[in-house]
Amino acid sequence: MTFRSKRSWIRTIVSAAVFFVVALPFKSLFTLLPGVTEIRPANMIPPVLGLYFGPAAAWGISLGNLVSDITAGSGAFVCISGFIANFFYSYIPYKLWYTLKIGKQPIRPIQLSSVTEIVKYILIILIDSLVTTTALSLIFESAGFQAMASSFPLLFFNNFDFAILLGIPVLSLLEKYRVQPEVPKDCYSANQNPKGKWLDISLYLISAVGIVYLIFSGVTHMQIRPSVAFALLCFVFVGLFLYPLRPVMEVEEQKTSKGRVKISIKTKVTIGFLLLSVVFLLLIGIVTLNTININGQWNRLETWNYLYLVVGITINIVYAVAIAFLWYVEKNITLPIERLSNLTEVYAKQEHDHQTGHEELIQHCSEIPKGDEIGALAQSFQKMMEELDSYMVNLATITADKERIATELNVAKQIQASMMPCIFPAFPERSEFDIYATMMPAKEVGGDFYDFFLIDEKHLAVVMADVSGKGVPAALFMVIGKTLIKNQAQLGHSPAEIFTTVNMQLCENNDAGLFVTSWMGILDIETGKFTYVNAGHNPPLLKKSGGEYEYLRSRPGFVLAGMEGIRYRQFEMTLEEGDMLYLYTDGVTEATNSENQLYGEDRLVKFINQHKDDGPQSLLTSIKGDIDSFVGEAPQFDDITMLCLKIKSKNNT
Amino acid sequence: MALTINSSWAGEKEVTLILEGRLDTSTAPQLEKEIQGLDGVTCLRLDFEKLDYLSSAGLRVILIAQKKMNRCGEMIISHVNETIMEVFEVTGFVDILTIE
Repeated sequence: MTFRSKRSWIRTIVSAAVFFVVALPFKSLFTLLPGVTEIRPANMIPPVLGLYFGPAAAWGISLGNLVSDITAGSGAFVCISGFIANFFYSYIPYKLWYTLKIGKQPIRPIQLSSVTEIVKYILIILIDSLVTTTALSLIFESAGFQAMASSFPLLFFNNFDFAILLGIPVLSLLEKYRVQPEVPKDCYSANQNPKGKWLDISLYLISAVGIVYLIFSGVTHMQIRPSVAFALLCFVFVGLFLYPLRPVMEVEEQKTSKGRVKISIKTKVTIGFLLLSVVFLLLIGIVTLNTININGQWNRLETWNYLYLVVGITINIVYAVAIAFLWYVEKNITLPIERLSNLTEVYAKQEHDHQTGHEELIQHCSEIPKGDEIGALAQSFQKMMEELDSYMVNLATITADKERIATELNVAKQIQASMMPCIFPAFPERSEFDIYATMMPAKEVGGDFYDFFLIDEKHLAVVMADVSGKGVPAALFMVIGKTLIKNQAQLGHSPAEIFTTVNMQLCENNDAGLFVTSWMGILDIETGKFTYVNAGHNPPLLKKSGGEYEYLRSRPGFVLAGMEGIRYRQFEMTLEEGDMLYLYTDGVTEATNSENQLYGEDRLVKFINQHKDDGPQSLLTSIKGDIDSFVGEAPQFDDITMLCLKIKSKNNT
Repeated sequence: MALTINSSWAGEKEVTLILEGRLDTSTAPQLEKEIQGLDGVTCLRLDFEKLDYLSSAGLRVILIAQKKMNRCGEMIISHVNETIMEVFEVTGFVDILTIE
């Protein structure tokens, strides 16, 4: 009950002000028992604000009531008893909310979002009204002020009717505007068993005293002696003043998992239905008020006594129906939806890999009752989870397979790369020529290859080839082709003979219909005689010493492995010191940029002539750089393979 | 860009395939499948008028078709544009194909 902060002070003052402003006008306008009470719609304020703001509101309301009593000119007796009554009238609901546990539902900060909570609210208002009315009636009785039998029902319904009728809409509004309720701090958890639980009994005893007393005086019509009333009053006061010591139970904070749900469907349905019943009850009240006093034979007190009774009874009937209906809706619609929504949320947040099964969620899902649309939704969701789980397992297997293949392709790529001579300078002991070559495969393994090797001390062979297609089939075919060519070359045959034989060998087992375009030349290092053969390959560029690069065109033979029995023709020329030969595959000229333009032969010839004085290595690096800058971000479709041979000086030895 | 193949039959044993688009690695299997289905045909005509591009994978399928037709009839390629003609010349395909 301590004032913890500035916020508590503000709440106290606001509560006092609100209560004062609402209560005062009714004091003189709608007096029922002069000096004792009047029609008080303001009576719904204490329990509502009490529930929301706790002790701070209780102090504020009793102060507000005190000020309004003084302003209206009530006597000191009424002022003091009103102060005490209003304090407990506000405080008891707050305490009850955080101590009363109905069923298994955990205690949550004040809200009316489920049937249990509505039942709890009505129960709290009932106890609260009973206790407060008993105390007040006894005060009046013992003071000889007013007979309890006449004041009790009036005071009781004044509290109960208004707290239910107006309290529920106001609570809904506070909830809608997300006013933060005060939650008790010093709580004990459900496992602990603190002393002081018995203090609940004092409330029930006070209520019982009130009811028994009322019935007794109502039946016997006996005026209770003030001394008896006073003794009972003392007992009631002891109970009341002890009650604040009752420890409160642990409060379950709003689950953060519901973060995305601002107001749950359950709350919406509940509040909507409650507001509807409030409208209905108000209408009943108005109709009753207008019909019972038609003859005008009743005074205001009698009229309102009757009205309160009618409304009070109707409340119970209407709410019995409402709660039964809401319970049905909750059980069959809102709770299953909430469960499903929570399940989907948990599912969405979980890890989704092949190791995480969702058996538990699937189990929960299958527990949602079937037969209606929600059940169908739950079944579909369950099916989806099961299918996704098995899909994830499949995917994991497939991914593992893919990774294995990717690893193997990577190894294949290394093997392929190591099959081509790639250590430069390749022949450091030979000063007669300089040679350099590069290959950049488009996929993991490619179908292009180059080769150069010394057949004997005075013969150098260069090969450039491109297998049709890409990937593993092309790479395998490339290995065969390269091996066959080298084998044949090392037997000392001429290029035409080599290709004729290799073509025959490749055709023998070529069910896949692959073929190789290839260009091969053999240089006699001593004489400079250069014999070359072309099997469907694009011609190389040749630069004679001092001249420009030009295509070395010759009538090409058919591709290797294409057709059996092809005879290849070879051509001859002489290479001299300073001559350069540039061999490439169509990956160079068909490199494509993002606008779908080809690099092209014209661009290549122009560029290579701008760098015609470069040595083999720097020439190939420059060309590669130019292709890269031309292509830009576009992906590389084809292998890019180049080889450059430079004749340096004739062997003089 | 994809490849569209339209076939027009003249009798039961003569068919013309009109190719439109690009015949490359991704579209070559399409033509290969088409040609495998042409059993019993003695005259296969390939119309290249609307063919923009021919890659080595395409050449492979043409070679397969040529070999197939060598066994049971003839294959004629018509309306070859300059670019594709150059491909045929460079690769030596001109020697084994019948081009009109």
